Amino acid sequence: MSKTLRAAHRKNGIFSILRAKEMGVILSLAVLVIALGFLAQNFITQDNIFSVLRAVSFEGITAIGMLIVMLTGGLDLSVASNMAYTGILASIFMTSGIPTIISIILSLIGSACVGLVNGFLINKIKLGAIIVTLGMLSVVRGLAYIITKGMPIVDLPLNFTYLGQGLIGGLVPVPILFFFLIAAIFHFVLKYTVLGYHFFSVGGNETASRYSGINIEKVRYFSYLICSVLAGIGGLLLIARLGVAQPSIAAGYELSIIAAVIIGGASLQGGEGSVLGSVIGVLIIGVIRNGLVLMNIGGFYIQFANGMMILAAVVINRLRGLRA
Amino acid sequence: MEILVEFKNISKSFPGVQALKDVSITVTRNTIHGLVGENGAGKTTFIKICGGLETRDSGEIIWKGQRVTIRNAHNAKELGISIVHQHFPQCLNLTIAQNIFMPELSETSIRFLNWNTINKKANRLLNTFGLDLPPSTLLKDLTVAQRQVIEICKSIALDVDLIIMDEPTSALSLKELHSFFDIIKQLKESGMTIIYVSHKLDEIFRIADVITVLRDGKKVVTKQKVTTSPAEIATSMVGRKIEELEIKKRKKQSHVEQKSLLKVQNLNRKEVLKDISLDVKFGEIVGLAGLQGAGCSDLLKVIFGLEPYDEGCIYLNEKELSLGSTREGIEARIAYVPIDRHVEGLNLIMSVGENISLAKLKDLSRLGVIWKKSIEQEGQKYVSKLDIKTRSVWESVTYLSGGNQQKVIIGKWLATNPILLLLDDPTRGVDVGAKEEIHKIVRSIVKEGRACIMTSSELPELITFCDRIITMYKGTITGNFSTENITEDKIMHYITGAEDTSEVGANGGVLNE
Repeated sequence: MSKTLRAAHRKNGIFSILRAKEMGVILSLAVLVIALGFLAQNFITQDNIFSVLRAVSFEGITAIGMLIVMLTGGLDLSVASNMAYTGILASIFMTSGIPTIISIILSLIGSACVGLVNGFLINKIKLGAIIVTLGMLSVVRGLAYIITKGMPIVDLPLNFTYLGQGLIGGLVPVPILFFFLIAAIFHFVLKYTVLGYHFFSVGGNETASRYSGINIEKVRYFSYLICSVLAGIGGLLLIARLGVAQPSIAAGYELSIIAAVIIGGASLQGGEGSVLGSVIGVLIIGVIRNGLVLMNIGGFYIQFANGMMILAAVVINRLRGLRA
Repeated sequence: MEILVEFKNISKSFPGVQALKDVSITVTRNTIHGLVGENGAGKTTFIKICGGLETRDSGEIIWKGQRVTIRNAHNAKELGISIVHQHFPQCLNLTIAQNIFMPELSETSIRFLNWNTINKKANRLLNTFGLDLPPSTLLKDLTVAQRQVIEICKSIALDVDLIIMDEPTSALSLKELHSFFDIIKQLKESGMTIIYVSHKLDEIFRIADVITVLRDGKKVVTKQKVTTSPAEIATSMVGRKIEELEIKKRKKQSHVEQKSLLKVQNLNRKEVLKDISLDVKFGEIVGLAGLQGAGCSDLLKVIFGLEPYDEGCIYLNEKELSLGSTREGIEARIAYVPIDRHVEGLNLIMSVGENISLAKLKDLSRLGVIWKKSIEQEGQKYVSKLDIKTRSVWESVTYLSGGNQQKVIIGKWLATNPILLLLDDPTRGVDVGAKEEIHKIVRSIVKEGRACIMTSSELPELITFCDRIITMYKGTITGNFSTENITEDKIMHYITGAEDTSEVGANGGVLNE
């Protein structure tokens, strides 16, 4: 066995990407794009491509946070509520005259608090991640309603809405830039920093990590913190795009975000997954959504298709795992 | 010789158990210190205290002449202590290099990592152990033995002075053992001090310089290897009064018949069981004696159909069993009481009656509906037959004592009217009175044309209760004794590998043939 491994190791370079774990999802995305290119008239146009990318940016940024939590073996169901809550906070600050940049920072501190509470309850009270974040899903969404009394906040400053609506060079929407920048940063963090390595090791084997002297609680705090802040950023950009802050936005997004991360090859048990995979996962979901709309297939099918994608992805992952 | 570390009067108790009591051990630099003891002697607790994974209740640790407190794994590492754990936990999702340098890189931060340099360092370590694998190989692609070597690499990747190895060979095959001992010798030559924890005396005598024996949480003796013998160490591992056992042995009433109930021929299971043949008569109670990992529990599970086997035949009442599922085991009227009653034996949120009825719900139901009354009747039958102390059959089993819970499990299986009982340590953790009762129950059941194979974590129990004892070591049967004329330390020899197994034939093996 060692010989074949050695041989596989030597064959590095450009072809290594073909053997990458993400190859499966990349191919699926490619097939999907080509198929839709034939089936839907307006699919492969500059406008549509950018609009798909922009549409997935908000969930995509949040999905990267979700990936990190899932790498450690956790789950965060409160992300979608957190997106709304952070956006609402910033909007309240901005409409009461606080400068945009300060409002953004303050609201992100607010979203970080959600992550800290999640981390605290999971680390210190030893509660399950699903229960804790399910509770927080309602608590945080409730806060968004309480703060706004259920009313939408309008008249957001232009320098804020630019973040969601602006085009760079008159072409590339700003949220896409944020999405790819954040993806690149966390791709790097996961691959080349001790923190990233610890996310994988805690998710891979908690006992081994503890025996090696890794502070598991600290790693978990970091994961929920990063996840919440990224959800916050996703929420801010989403509200900037809509131009109106409604407490009901992003409802139910947590499921499509988790779906995207799983489609991208992450495991619910932790220890497996990558930023590249998650980004592709988000794109697959976005492309399906867009394709169904372009082909005039009713919105009812979108949810059905999402579900089928998740099931297909986990079945394929499972079969791949059995073969190895 | 220079003293590296001194453990003085270390004590540790867990709720209900005194795991360590006043243990003092002195380890000199550049020696291999063997630490031996039966299951439950306190070895693992001692290791955990050394590694900072448990804190001691009292006593002190003098490390290189200074009094130290070891609070966590990180702390131990800083002092220069590393541990090779028995069930070495590893991250199978990570690469060899990522696993090896986990302790070194245990400080969480956004520090950059250069995997190229780390892989190169790992490669050098792997080469010293003759392991020709790229460090970027994922651990899940390795064999168990290779993973064990990785674990040792992990413990020496740090700049440590003391390595504690807890049963490091449990996952290794014979071939791998040789290279493993070479590695240990290399480590010693390079100036390392090693505490080698095992209950395998042959290994201890092969490599240790000094041997310390623990028993029931206390230190019995520390000896230089050259001044002692495997027989002496085995005796001090046991160290109970022999007369007491003799009296109990004589009280036993057995009803062994001539006819065989169970015949096992040349049973093999890769890496677990090797060439097992045995024969159990009607009315007989056979004890399987062996240390953890000797294969006793596995043998029971294979006979019941819970685990697969590669080759061999099993005959029950002269019919060959094609086992492979528990269903067939139950249909062949075999009952199996697992070792961990909470995890494998009971449904803790259900009542006594429901638990008892669980294995024969089909018979208790009419038209697919289970009537409360039939559960109550069935439960009541066994509650009174086995004298289970419970307020009613509807009491949740959680509220019963350990002994009574065990009786519920036995009742559950009796309800299926088995002819062969497989009991995996049935009296573990129950008090003396309940133990006697369980013995009485098993005896009376076996008398009615049945047979029983059991294991126990306590040798005296097997000697006083069973009609025959089969000893196992590393998956093979090493001896077969009538309990009439057997002593505890003789069994200890056969289950620790202190006696060369080739002598077994001459030395009283196969007494009942």
